[in-house]
Amino acid sequence: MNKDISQNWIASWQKRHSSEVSDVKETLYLIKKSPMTMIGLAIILILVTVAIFAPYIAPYNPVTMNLDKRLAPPSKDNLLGTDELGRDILSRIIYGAGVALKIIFIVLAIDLPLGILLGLMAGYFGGWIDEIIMRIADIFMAFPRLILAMAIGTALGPNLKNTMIAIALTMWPVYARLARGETLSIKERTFIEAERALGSSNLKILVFNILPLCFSTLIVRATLDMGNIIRIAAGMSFLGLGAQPPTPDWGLMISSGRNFLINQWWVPTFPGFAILLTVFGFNLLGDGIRDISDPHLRRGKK
Amino acid sequence: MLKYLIKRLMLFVIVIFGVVTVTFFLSHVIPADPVGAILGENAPQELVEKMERELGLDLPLDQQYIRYLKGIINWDFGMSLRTQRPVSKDMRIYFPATMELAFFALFIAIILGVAIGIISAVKRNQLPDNISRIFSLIGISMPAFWLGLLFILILYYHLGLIPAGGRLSPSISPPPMVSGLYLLDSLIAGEFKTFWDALYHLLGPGLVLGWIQTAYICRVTRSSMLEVLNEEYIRTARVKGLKEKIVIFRHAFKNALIPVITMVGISFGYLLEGSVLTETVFGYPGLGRYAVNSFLSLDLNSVIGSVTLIAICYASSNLIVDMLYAVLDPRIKY
Amino acid sequence: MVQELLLEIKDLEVNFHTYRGIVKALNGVNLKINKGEFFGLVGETGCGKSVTASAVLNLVQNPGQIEKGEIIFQGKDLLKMDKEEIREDIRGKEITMIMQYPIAALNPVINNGEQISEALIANKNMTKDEAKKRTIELLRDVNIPEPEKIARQYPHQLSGGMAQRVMIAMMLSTKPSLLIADEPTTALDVSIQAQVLNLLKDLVVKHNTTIWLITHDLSVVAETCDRVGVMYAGDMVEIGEVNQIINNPRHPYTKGLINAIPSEQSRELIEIKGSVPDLVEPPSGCRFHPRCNYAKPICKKAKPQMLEIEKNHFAACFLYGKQREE
Repeated sequence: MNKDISQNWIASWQKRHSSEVSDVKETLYLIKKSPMTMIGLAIILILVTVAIFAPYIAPYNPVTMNLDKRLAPPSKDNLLGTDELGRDILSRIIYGAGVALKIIFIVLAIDLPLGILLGLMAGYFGGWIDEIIMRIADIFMAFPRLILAMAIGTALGPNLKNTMIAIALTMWPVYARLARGETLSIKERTFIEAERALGSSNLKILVFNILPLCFSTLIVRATLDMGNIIRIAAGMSFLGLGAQPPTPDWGLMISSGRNFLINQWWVPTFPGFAILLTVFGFNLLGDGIRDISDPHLRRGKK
Repeated sequence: MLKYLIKRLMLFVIVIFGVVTVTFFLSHVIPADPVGAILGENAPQELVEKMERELGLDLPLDQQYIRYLKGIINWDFGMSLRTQRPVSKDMRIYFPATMELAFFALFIAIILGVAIGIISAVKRNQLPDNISRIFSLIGISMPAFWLGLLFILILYYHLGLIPAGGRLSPSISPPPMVSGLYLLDSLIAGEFKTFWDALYHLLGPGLVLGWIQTAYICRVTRSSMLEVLNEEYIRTARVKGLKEKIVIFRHAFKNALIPVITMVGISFGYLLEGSVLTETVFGYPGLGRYAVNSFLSLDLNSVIGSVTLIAICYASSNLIVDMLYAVLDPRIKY
Repeated sequence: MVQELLLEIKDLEVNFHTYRGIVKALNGVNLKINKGEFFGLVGETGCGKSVTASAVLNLVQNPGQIEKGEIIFQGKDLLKMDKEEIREDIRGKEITMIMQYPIAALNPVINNGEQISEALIANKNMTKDEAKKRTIELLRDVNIPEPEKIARQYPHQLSGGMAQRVMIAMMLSTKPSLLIADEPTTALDVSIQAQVLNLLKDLVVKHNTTIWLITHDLSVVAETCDRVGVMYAGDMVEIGEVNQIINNPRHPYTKGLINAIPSEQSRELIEIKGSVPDLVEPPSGCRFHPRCNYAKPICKKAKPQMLEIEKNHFAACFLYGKQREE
């Protein structure tokens, strides 16, 4: 008896969400067709590959100092030169990719669940729960992100872990807002009424119906934010509040290389290009995904 | 409309209050030792206790909070340990510098960003659009501090087009203080040499911030225009046989303006953030650099002061933006 | 009474170049509209009625392209005219259009009166004051109470019916020869529908404007139109006088549409089997053949041409005429 019910439920889920399924297919098709998105995707894939295979790709160890070869210009041995402690810049940049990805991952791992949870609660239950959550969100959003991150980072202590927590704390309001917005608009839709009529509990409605639909909006937003996360983290490291030596963090590399800007320009410049390229890739991808999820673009069917 | 404005003002007050409270709690989590910083590590116990009483550190937390609130209402944040001056005096000097930089960059960004955004939207997917999209994308992908370093390397060192840093050349003294904005004050005093020198020093940090903000505003203008151009009433305007220029500026742009204004408000926030990094790189004596130094030296009072001021600025710009909506959008007005 | 030809569309083909492929929206549409008449174009959503109207105004939306055909209006082929000339002389002056969602069709940040005055100033060279005066008169003509107040208000303050009347005032202000009404009452309450349609009928008589009504609702057509055209999937399948179409439908699709209207005699809801085809890969030959009860082998192979069934009544179907023999 229970098996029948669940089978029926799965079949009806597929039928109800058939439009979403075909949406996904169309999304993948549109992604293939947009060159900018594909380039963004390519950049990110290269980044991920470099990060994973860093130990195999990097010509040198990123932390080994070689004081004889300090501040050497780009050459055959060191394609991007060496820094003030003789470390190979190319290798440090390669390992830095992993650091950057780690930062994004942890920040989003905190923010997405936190934002969805708070947003869902605020939207679904409304009333004073909604008011409190939204006012707290407003207060967090009243600070420019970097300033707040700096404050939290200083309070917690300057290291990479705390930077990630700090950045996560500055960004959750956006996700909570989005999740709340989606919840509000979905809450009133007819099929929720139908579910209630069938007797599903609140929790079930939340998890099975609202959550998946929230998810896509938040993923799009998260993709757009990935570039921002790296920029803020780089800013924190640059100011000394983030990654600490000898971590091969790109922002930190620019900061410590700053004194050598004039005569050994390669030391702070190349890490900056790495940041630029990475953020650029994320932005391309994010833009593409956002354009594609835009219903206007799909109008061409008529 | 009045209801909307009142509601918005109340929100502003709540937010400021919240900001002040959060800053208070944050400052008590920051691992700083204000007494030790003033008296040194080996001060005798009675002196330490005396200083604690003076600073109110012996009071229970809620009383410290009241004392703190009183201080803020009087705009008194105490002394900066680093500069040995009252924080509010420091801010009086540095705040106008940042405002000048921010408005300079914002001015460039609005004019260029809106113009390029409209052109991009109207010529969608053609060459001007594609070029501007790539430049905007690069603009929002660059770390401001890195761009600043590049500017110093190329524009200062190799090309000598901008000065190394600071707000004025060493040989030039600031104009008589009216607003604190050197450009304005020097014009008022008729000191043209000072005016050009100040402008010259604004170029480096101003163009860095300006480029990045132009990119943001351009993107929002473009996407907002594209969305509006798809609306039914644009079709109506065309059916009426109106010239395309009128369709774009009178019908489309007026509607596209609203998200653009939001972006200008947000830009202001980005500018405050960006000033932190850019001022540090260019050695520009503004609030941003002051804030950074306060954080790094754990100078609590100036940390509280600068964070509070920055947050108030940001909240105010959001408030102004929301008020502008009410004026511009008849749907809110009536 | 001699019917004078106002608009003739010949073999109009429009394609939309979309991501999914080329949507063959109009497959060679032919129609004629006479001066002073109330012409109805009927068909299901997506059959191409609005695209046809857009083509006449040269406002086919991206990514649509007019591939071939002729649109002859007042003796000139609009498709061969310079685009600026169409905008200046035709649009807003000779041909205008009202649309389905009147509030969405009005600019939210400009007040109602100014939107109407704009049309007068641009097309009739009136001064601002003249246009203002005329606007109030026009609003009175369309039975809007307190026209001065409404003119100062904004679209979001209007009800659907009022907004549609503002649109009508706007689009008739320049006394065009042809007013296209694209589903003008579909989004309105039934009681308001009747009001708006009656208003249109009166205005036709008053100003001698020709009206081209586009709708999917046959009952509206039956009440208002003089002549009717039926479209299906980008093809014109039948054209005739209203009583001919309603009482003597000849094309199987038209028959299906008429039968689908529930009547007092039968409470059954008779539907046309199948569904509207995908226009990227439309059916070969006659596009209706997969759903047609009378389909024959030739229907798959060739596209039927319009044939005269009786005076003024034409249908494009292999059931009729010489083609029957093949």
